[in-house]
Amino acid sequence: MTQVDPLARYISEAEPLHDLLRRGLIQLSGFLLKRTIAGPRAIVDYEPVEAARERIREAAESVRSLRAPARAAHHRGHLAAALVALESALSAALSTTDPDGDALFCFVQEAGRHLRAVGRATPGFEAVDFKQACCAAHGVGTRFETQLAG
Amino acid sequence: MGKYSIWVLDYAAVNKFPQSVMLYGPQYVGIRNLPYAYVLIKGQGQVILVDTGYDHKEYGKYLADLYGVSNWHPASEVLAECGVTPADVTTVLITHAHFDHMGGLDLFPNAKFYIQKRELDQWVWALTLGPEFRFLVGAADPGDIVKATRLAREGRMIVVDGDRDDVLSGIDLRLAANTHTFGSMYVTVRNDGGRESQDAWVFAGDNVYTYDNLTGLDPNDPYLVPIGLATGSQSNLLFSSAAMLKAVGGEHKRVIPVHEDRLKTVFPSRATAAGLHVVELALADGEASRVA
Repeated sequence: MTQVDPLARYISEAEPLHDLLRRGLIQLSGFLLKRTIAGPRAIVDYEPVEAARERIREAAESVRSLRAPARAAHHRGHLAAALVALESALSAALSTTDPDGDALFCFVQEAGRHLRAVGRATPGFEAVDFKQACCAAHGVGTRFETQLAG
Repeated sequence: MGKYSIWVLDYAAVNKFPQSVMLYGPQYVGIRNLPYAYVLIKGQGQVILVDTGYDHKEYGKYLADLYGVSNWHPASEVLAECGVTPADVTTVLITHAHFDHMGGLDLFPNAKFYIQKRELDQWVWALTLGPEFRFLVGAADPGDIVKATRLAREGRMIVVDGDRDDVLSGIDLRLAANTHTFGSMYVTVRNDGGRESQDAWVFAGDNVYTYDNLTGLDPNDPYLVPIGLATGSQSNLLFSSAAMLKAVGGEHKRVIPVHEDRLKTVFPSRATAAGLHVVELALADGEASRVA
């Protein structure tokens, strides 16, 4: 039997999840842009939010069950953190208590930062140096493990 | 002398660009050099750009590598050839949402940005479609949505719904819906200020890639040829080209396609140390030539 390299397996499993989250982020950002331009009293089409909800739902369970080898733990931490931020963004988009989109904007920015760290914001999965920390926030993986477990 | 000084500034290039993308019709007809450039318009207390270029990092770099872009230089370096810094830019008129025209939204910290409402609305809509429709958003950087949102929240992203006269003195915005993109816009500068200007320039965005789109390839039988890359219709492209030509009194060289490699020979120009070109279209009173 051929043994699959755990890192290679992780990358192949993480790639489509990254793409789903990236698409969810774009759709929520698009909704926020349209809402910002239209103004707080305008009626805005929620189609992008529905599309984002579907992408995030598709990704959520797999991200939570994704097993990362030690070398990819930091990477997975960013992926998981992006999921948490997007779920919060989704809630903010559907909330009636965020009329100016302040919370939505914050969560979208947060998700964007994590997804850039994951894949340099490419549609595929650009090479990430797993030996090097890709941001200054070390421990990001463990920080979000707590939320994922909940 | 006009109201504004106007330069076209190269900032990168694709050395081997398929001619079939520039001109609808025959395939396998060869390649051309395709400069990447923006337009600097200076005068009346304003420093205006038509389009932003892009930032050669993250997804911008990914797209640029995909398209074979080389010799990219930052706006700080390119604008310095005309004595301008990115912080001096007061207004940016975005012709369409492709990365090489809108990818520098965060490079001009004091500028207000104008774009067509239709371009943003339809782009966001296209992004909700499945990946099988990714042709519709292929040359756009989704990260620019986040940047545009930040600018909109700061009141610096102004959405224009259709044509607008005198967005700045003597400068008009024209919607060319469903052409190269959903809500492409071209810019007319009436440099003598007259309503029926005798000194008008049109900045075509990517609705015109080359003068050949305005004349065809047979000088004895000129006709309009649409570009070969569009999400809209070829007939819309032809009618918008005709409207551009009408705005400049039929003088086709005054319809400026920034991707046209021959601008540097049609107008006074010089090459920079970086191998880019500064093309000088007009000088306002008191402005020194940047190509002499």
